[in-house]
Amino acid sequence: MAPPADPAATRHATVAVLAIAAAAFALAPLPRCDHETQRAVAVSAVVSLAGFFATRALIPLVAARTLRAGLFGLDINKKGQWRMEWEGWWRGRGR
Amino acid sequence: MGGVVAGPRPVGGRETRPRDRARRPPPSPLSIPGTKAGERRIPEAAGLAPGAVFLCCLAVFQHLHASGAATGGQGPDDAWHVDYNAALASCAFMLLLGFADDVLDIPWRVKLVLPGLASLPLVVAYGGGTGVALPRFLAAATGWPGYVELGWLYKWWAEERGEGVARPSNATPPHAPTPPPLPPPSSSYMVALVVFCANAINILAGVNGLEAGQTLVIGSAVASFNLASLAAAGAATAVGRGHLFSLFVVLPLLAVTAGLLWHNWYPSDVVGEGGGAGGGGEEGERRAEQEEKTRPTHSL
Repeated sequence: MAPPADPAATRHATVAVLAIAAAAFALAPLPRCDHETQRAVAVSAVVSLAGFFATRALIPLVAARTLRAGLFGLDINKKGQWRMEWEGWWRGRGR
Repeated sequence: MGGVVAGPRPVGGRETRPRDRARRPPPSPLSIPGTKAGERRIPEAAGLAPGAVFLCCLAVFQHLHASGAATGGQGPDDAWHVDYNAALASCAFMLLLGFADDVLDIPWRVKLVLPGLASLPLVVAYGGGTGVALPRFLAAATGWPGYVELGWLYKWWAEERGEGVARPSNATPPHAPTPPPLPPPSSSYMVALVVFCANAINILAGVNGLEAGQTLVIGSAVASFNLASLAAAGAATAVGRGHLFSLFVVLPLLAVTAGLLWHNWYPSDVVGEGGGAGGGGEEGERRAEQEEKTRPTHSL
């Protein structure tokens, strides 16, 4: 039996797939543009890619400091519970 | 005392029977206790990081574009820098207000109008028109023009003063009312647009990844539309330059949003509240820049 997947790895893989799909969709018409446009978009894309990695690295640092400053919330974390309650209510309806 | 004499009102009986208990509506999701995993503290205001990086990306690209490195030729003119700096200032203002929202617990009535304040730099620098570019199939089916100018709705005052946007003859309604003398309200439409766009994003805050995910989807659609329009019109045309401008703002937004989503996807490590509000402002700005593309069209 395969070991359970790491939640963080699964989450990151999902976001990576989504980000690549969004970038591919956004840049799909690029080959039809002229050379000057392609060059400008490529420069902007490189700057943006650097921004992605900078954001990914900076968020944990900022999060640690905001947590220390008392800026936090509680995730009520109720994924799936509503459905279970609803199904329980529905099953008991005819009794 | 009367209450004690009367005693509690009997509410049992029928309601306690299993059949009636089952007919009760299901409990609200807010009344269901959370799980153990929900007891850990989630840092807020983590949107500061993507917001700051976004501004840095815009500034770095502005330098590259001004030096001609981005296009391999001459840099843009001064008008481009004015518009770009206005977009930069608006994003910075929105980021500040988003952070203030986290720290100061601002009432919702104030939150509604705050994006209007953040849009001020953009509104001051904006000199274009307001219109809707119709899809080709819709224009062909209805016989309407491909671009419908809406500026006549609020620019009567400017036309009376002889400085308004020229109405395209095919966009003028056949029975347009006689314009009354009104105070200058042209900026109000732009402010309302930014307020709408910012709140349309920010109202979804609270569900892991929903805000950032929505920004990612809308941003990629806008970028794709910009590039498709660029391919059709060419970068040398006025419309093409407007789309290119929009693209330069949207691509860094997409990247930093993906970076935020990396940590904000369920189960979220951070709350990107500041980034959510900032993203909303940027979204509004992007929409405004979408309209910016039509500005040179009027001068043709």
